[in-house]
Amino acid sequence: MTTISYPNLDDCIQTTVLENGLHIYCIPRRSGAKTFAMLAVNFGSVDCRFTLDGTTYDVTPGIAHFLEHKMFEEEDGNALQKFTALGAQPNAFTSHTMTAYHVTCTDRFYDCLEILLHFVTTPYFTEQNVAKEKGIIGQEIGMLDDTPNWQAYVGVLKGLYAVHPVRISVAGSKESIASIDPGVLHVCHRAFYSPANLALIVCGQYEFDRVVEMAERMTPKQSARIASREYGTEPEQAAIPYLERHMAVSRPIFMLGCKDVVAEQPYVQQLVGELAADCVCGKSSPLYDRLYSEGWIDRTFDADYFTFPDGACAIFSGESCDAQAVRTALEAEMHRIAHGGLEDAVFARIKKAIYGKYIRRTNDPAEVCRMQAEACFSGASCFDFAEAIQSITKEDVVRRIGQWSMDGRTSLVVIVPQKEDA
Amino acid sequence: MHNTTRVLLKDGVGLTCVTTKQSKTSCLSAMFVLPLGAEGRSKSALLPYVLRSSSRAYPGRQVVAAQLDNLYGARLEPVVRKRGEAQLIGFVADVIDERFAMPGQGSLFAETAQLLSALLLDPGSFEEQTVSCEAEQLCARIASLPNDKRSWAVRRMYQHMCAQEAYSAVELGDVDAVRTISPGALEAHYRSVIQTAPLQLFYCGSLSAEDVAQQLRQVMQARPELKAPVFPQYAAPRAPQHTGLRLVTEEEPVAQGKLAIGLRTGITAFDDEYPAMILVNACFGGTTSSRLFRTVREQMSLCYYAASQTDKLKGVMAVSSGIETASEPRARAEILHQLAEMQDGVTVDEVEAARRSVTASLQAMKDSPLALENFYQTQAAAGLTETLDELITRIQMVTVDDVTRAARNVVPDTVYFLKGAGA
Repeated sequence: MTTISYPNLDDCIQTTVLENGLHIYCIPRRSGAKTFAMLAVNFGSVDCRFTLDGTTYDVTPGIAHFLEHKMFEEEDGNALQKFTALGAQPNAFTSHTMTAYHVTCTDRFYDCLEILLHFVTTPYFTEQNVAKEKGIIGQEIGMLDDTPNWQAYVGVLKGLYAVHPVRISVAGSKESIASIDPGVLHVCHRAFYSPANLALIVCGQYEFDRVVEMAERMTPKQSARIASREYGTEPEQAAIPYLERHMAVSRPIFMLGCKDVVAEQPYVQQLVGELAADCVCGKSSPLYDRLYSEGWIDRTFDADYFTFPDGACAIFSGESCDAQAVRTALEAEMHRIAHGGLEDAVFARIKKAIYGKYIRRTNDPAEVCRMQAEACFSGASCFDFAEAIQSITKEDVVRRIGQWSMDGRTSLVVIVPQKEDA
Repeated sequence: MHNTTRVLLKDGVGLTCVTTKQSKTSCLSAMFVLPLGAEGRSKSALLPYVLRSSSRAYPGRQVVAAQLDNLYGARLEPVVRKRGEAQLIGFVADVIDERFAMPGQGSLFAETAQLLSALLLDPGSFEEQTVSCEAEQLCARIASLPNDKRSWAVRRMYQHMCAQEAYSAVELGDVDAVRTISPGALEAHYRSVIQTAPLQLFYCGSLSAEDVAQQLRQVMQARPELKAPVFPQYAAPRAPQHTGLRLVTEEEPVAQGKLAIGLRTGITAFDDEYPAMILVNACFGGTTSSRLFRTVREQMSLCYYAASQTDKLKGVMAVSSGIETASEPRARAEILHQLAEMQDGVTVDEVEAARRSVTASLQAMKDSPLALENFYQTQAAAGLTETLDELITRIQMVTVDDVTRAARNVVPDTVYFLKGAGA
């Protein structure tokens, strides 16, 4: 066991790697009420073209999410019900970059851990249970189809990327999941669910040795080879500068994406990108105040940054009756900052605010585990933020914004209210 | 460690204080409690948004935002909530704990409390531009409520079900009323609110209750003495106001239909049967081992979600599910069938699973200052003094028969279906 301490953050990580390659990270919270455990798989919706044992597979991007649903099914019942019978709260999510299974409990932690380790490493797919899931996921996709913010998000990634699979919705479409069968689910499980491609993360109250002992007992003795992935060659320009979609919304919702270059150090670039997005139009920026006063944006406005394998982008989103005007203002501000217009005082206080935001995130064990999953898959640790933020310079931030402000790097999506007669 | 203390700071100003050593953040909130059915509802809803930009000491949005950055990205958000038939308006703030600040920063809690008090109790005159800008923003928020179809269907259902009750009112106000609010009228309304509405404060963090009470007593000095205080009433009719099940269908251009079934439980947090009703809800549709999840989703494959939720101050319950339009009759029949079965008697296993699940969720709230804020401010608004631990203890005492008996109180009232008209 290695313990990495972060005295300034009042936290530490206990970590080890099992012989089968499984990474274990445990973060103690001695006085908390709950313990949170997550088994994260380095497999997201973007991992849909891969090579395993000499064969190249092209699968539908919705498969990672479908697999997530199906893993809960076990030969002797459903893991969800086993957890709730113990009073634990299980859940899972699939993102572009990972699949994660997690459980929150206030007692019987080891029983929960055993269930978690077992069902994620033990596929049980039948024609019948796969067919049944298409009904459930079909309704989940139907729900997403009616969620304007999700549609804007899917739209902006499609607008930015011509080739990269991030351009396709995490859940896929009703049509694209129709062909999924037990065979292809088994291929994906074999390609990505080997211990070496998983991370077990625990935050709360536990005994480290007991966690390790159980992980050794419950996971396969050896890892299979992990598939190699491919994301294609993506042009630097945005694919489609403007997209719109009609939906049942009361007023237009927009997202402006700004395509960035591939990160060499994704963990650090994520922090720099978030800081840069806030410098352009965070809640305390001069531009935000101006747009808000003029009524172009409202409290729904948000500035964010997103890194993923082979890509990164900034996203500005909100509701506005004139999304084009917001785009023009944002692009002008990025241009101004790229040419030396970032005030030192603005940079300094937004940097302070980002540090506080990350401290706040580490308060919640669930969030800590999610942060650690994201960090460890990009070779970092979830508490590295303090040092990393400290070392970010104004030039780092200006360099990012300089990328976003180059010609042809942005894409605007607007969800337009449906006309009454449509 | 987790200590809960209730303090009356002065007449009409209550404080709930949760001291916990482990938290990395602290949370502070201040809420005025108003009757939801009152005439000034739209003005009340606008108030926190206007107050946030009208402080004498921190004039304007950007000055406030810069101060929050200096407090390490502290948040201080205007809040408008509906709790039973009460409207809560005020601010919720959270800030990182002192031990993570750089040396020489000063007290983060003291500065946050001071900022909150400056916004809430010491405004300059309301400017025309601020009022009209915030009124437009509020109207946009009201207009965008239908964007989230899941919560919209439940809201529409309650509007039909409780059409004759204050509960049907929109806590954010009505667009027509919000548009016509003048700065003068809003100032007059503000003066009346601070003189008549009880103010509830909440703190969760590492400071002791004595310390917090002393500091807050000082910063809240600007609060005038209460004159003729007005308290919300909480009415919870035990039976539908009509005979037979009411059916309402509305259409929107959406892909997926939303079914919302409203039921009267008649049991609120004021009642002895309340813990049993919590378990009824958990067995029925509150967890992934509930009847609705297991049948409507897992066995019948009709939906992604089918869940139930109660309002603890109103004695009502809503079941909601997203389904294909064609599945509505089957889903509705199954939901009502599951309720009828529960009324014939629940099983020991399902009650025990529900009890474990509810207890765990309540325990887990202790790790989240914002979850505690929500719980205790709702308690305070209703005048309830029960702590989280006391509620957990009461839930341990509920018997299987108690749950069946409580289930028999549940009466379906209104079935609302938001039908997808093809998108």
